Amino acid sequence: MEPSTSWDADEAVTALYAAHYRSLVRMAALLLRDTGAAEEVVQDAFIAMHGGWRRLRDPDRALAYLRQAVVNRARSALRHRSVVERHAPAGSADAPSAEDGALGALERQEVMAALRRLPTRQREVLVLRYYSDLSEADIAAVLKISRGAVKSHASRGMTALRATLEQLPS
Amino acid sequence: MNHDDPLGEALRRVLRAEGDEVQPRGDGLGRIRERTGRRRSLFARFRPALLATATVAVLGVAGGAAYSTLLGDEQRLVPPVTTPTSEPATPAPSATELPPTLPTPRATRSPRPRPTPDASRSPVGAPSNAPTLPEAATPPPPGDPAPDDPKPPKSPSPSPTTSTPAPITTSTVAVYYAGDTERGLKLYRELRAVSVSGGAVITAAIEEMLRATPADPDYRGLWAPGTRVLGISKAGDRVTVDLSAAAPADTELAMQQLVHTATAVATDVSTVQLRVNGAPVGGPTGRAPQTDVLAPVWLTTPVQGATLPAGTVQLEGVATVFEGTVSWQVLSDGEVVEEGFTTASEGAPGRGTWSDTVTLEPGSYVVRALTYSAEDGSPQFADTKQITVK
Repeated sequence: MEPSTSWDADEAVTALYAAHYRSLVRMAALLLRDTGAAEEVVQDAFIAMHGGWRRLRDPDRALAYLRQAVVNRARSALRHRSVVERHAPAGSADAPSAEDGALGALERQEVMAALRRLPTRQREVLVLRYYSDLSEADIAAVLKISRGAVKSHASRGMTALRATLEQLPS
Repeated sequence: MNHDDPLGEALRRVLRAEGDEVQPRGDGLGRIRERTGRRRSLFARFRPALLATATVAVLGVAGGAAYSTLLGDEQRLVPPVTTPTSEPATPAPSATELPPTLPTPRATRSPRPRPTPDASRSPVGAPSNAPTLPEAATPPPPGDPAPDDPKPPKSPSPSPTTSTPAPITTSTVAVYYAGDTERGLKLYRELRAVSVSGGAVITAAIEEMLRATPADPDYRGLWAPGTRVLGISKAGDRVTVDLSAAAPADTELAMQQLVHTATAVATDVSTVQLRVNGAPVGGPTGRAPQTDVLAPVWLTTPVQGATLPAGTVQLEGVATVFEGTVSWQVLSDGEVVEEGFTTASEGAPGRGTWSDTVTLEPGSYVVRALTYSAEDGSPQFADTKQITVK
């Protein structure tokens, strides 16, 4: 879709929905671990964007806004969950491990569990980088933090993940 | 990110695999439309699913998708460096709800086109020597928990209202009013400038409570108009207040309105004995637990009708909310133009102070502080103020 400033708010919602709804829901689901909750968050973000379209007036800005709104709302939704759930136990450690980067079920489970245990910012940075493929600058813009902070969250997050994976039986 | 980062590649694969298993239901656009299309009834929609299903792990459904295509589009749309464009840069951090297109009930309920607080808040016949607080000049301090109400200079011995031709001074007192919340009628606080005769500041505060109209049109007093203070005496930590009429309704909260106002103005007072035309009504009464009587969210700064310079606007309040999370929004013409959230110094059941800032261009706005239900995510307990930024 080509950038257009002639869209009205409804047209903007339709176009951006077609292009990004699914990937935004998936991003939110990776942050929230719940598809239903992810959809709610993304729909809320679209509604907010609809309300703010008068000021956005541009698909790029609108998408940046959507991402930001989704991440913020997902964070807020997570905060309202029970602490217990945040510390859900990791998967059992007796499944066979994969080799040479071909991650098996265990690794996948472990990586996701480790990701969920990360501090919120680190998890957000890793999802935006490795799932949404955003650049450091875009991540910084979405999270409203500096590029240096993006780097540092990414680095600390990866270090924690590495530590987790190294503990896997092999 | 790069290919010599095996862990990064592994994470990318895991996330994609996990993401691919997420299948949106497909009726999202319809649901969004349903909510953007209407101008009302945005509360209580769709939220229950969010928290109710929160414990279910994601990824129930399998199925691939045009995910990579979508991702491609997405990337094309993103400028290399997204300048965080001041405005959209603050989308609803905590706002999990409340489509901003729609004016809120409270916001619409008090559509005073031009906040002219001082003109509008003084009821006809209100004594002209009881000026209300000039907002810009004396912004209230950050909202305090009830027990820490600002203590104006207190009177050594409050005397009956009509007594002594004593020196008149002006003092700022905390006066409590009632307002509707999702949990029924609760108390809010306004700081008001009152004239104090001979140091009788408790008397001045109670008279202000009885006769003045709150600046915020969402608030109201619970005592009948025309109720007068017949006498006030103080013994130890108890103040006896003799009024000319009982509260017509909501008597318990009316009593709390009186108790809070009296005890806010005098640190050494903890209970109030009410009399009506000399006859005792009930026993000495202290402040009820704040969770029972105070509105969960107060927005104390800016005050209703304030005119503020453009630029950074300070938002402050007091709240008893889950995990201390207070959300705020700034609306213009019924649309949210800025929003954010912050954390109060204490979460429920405690009562904490909160503050945040927002940058506003000149215009007329409604500022709202609120919280979202921990049960279903619906917005609750909004306290709204109309302000003008010049």
